[in-house]
Amino acid sequence: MGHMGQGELLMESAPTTETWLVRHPTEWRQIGIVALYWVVLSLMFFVPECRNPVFFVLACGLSFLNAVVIHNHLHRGIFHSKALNLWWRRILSFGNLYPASANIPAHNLVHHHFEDDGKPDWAEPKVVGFRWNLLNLIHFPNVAGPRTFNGVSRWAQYTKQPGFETQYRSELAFAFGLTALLFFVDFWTTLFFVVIPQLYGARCILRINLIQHDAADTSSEWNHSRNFVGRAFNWIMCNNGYHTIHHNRAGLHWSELDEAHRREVLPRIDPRLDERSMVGYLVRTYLLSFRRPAPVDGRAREGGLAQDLLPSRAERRELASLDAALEAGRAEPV
Amino acid sequence: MILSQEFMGLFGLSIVAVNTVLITADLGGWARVLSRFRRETRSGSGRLTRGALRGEQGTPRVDLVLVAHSRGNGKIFFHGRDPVAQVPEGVRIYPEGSAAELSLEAGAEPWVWPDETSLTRALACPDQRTFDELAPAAERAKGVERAVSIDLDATAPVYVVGSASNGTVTPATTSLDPAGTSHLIIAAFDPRAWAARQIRLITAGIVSIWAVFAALTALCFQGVPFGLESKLGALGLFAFFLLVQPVGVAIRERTSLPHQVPHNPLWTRPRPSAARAADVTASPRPAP
Repeated sequence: MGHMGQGELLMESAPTTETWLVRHPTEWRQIGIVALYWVVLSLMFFVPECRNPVFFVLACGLSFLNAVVIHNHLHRGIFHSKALNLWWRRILSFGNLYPASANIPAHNLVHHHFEDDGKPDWAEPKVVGFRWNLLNLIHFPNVAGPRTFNGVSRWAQYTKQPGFETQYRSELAFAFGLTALLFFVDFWTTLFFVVIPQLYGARCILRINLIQHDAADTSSEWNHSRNFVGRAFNWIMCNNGYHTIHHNRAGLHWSELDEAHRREVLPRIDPRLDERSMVGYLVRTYLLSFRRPAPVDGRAREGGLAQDLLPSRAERRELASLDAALEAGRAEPV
Repeated sequence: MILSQEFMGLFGLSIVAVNTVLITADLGGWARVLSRFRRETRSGSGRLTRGALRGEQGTPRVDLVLVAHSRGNGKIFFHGRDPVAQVPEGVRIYPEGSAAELSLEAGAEPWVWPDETSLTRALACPDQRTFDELAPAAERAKGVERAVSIDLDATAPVYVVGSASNGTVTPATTSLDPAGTSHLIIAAFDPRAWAARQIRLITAGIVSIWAVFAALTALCFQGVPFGLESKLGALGLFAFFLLVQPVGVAIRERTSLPHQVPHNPLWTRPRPSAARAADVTASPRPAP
């Protein structure tokens, strides 16, 4: 398989059949996750009996999944309607108390390309350096978060995407405005049963950067990310366990990642980066081990394998910029 | 089992406390590294040499590539890539108070630290013409690169950190590189004094962070449980939780090794009448 052109890549995940409201039938799973999250938060807010450990833990878990939906939605908008997509971003922003549109520069345009263009990846694993690895996992959002928002603020000042700042501010206003309103209605319930879950998810999605890339070789084509391939895990996580193929083919719809992972990634990846269970990896790496995992030499692993499957990283960078503009409805498909 | 306000209050407080411990421990760890570096280079260690540089092929310099972006609103934003230190062949140092001559062996990864004035001058917008030449290219999606070189001043004393023996200064390991790689450090300022300033800044930051945390925690426990004072304290701790993270990052970046400090200057188009006094705002960096 030779290099793909921009047009082919942009169209690679186009839905084959027209669906009502959403662009892909599997999007209802994502909508369901967010709806369930709002239901659980509402129950805890309005019904004192629901302020129990089960609901609280469930809310924290769903908050993390809300951040996963932000990730997917900012790659490929869920709805046919652009207005609905922009409103959905505001709703998602409330779920994690940060503007969802921050993902465009922070994730799509910077993280996906690591340090290829000389810009630092704001959430690179090396920003933490405790010798006890568990502390790195806990501390990571304290460093990656501010670096990311500094970078986003700076990017917002020179981006030529018209409307980005307006949308960003509207998400900020919606997320913090609604939270402030809840504070006004019931201060302590909001702080304990809304804000803590919101921030838990926001911080966990940052931690995922460490989990998925620590000790991987970001200079390589196929060994830059750690994958978690359990089926149940990926059903809940909307296939976000398949991270290598997501980096390499960011335009691919999340529902197609498992098959693409098996087809393209498995033959080329170091087995240490293809984990069955994330829970198993977390326990092994952060609880049963004191030190960071040993680095994987991805380039050595890929030495003898065909490298022409993917467009160059420079081409992928350009595609990501185009994709971001497309999602914002400010460019025409190639 | 209902989660009581008392339990959740302590739970929330412990989250903020653990987070604060980690942020200050990270800063404290860096201060300890700088302190070890000071000990390694103290007088009599033979690691630090102050003197005058000479070299037929020029003096050590830093090459920095900046990528410029603009949206045509009279501002150009830069982000700097990792600087590359260059030490020409044949550079020698003449230690002060000695007739000796030491040649410098740069090794694979020398670190060159110019003074802040030279760096600020090099990163500043020189004139309106340069701005106007760069601006159109900076408006492209990829932006445009601008290369900058900062030479160490041959007329001013420099400081070299390395192992001196047999008339040669070679790279040495110091605590500054946790990987244990040897570096020859050539600085336009005293690196020990620089490290001392960073340690003082970090210490002040840590003390301030804990003082604010203690004050807000105390406020939480004032008056009627979960009353107005508690609410103000909790709201303050929530804001503290959000703000202490960027504060920690800012202190850490401000005290980074001079060659690792991010260089993100911003150019504002100079007005024709003030073209010579170009306006520039460079990102914070440690004073040499």
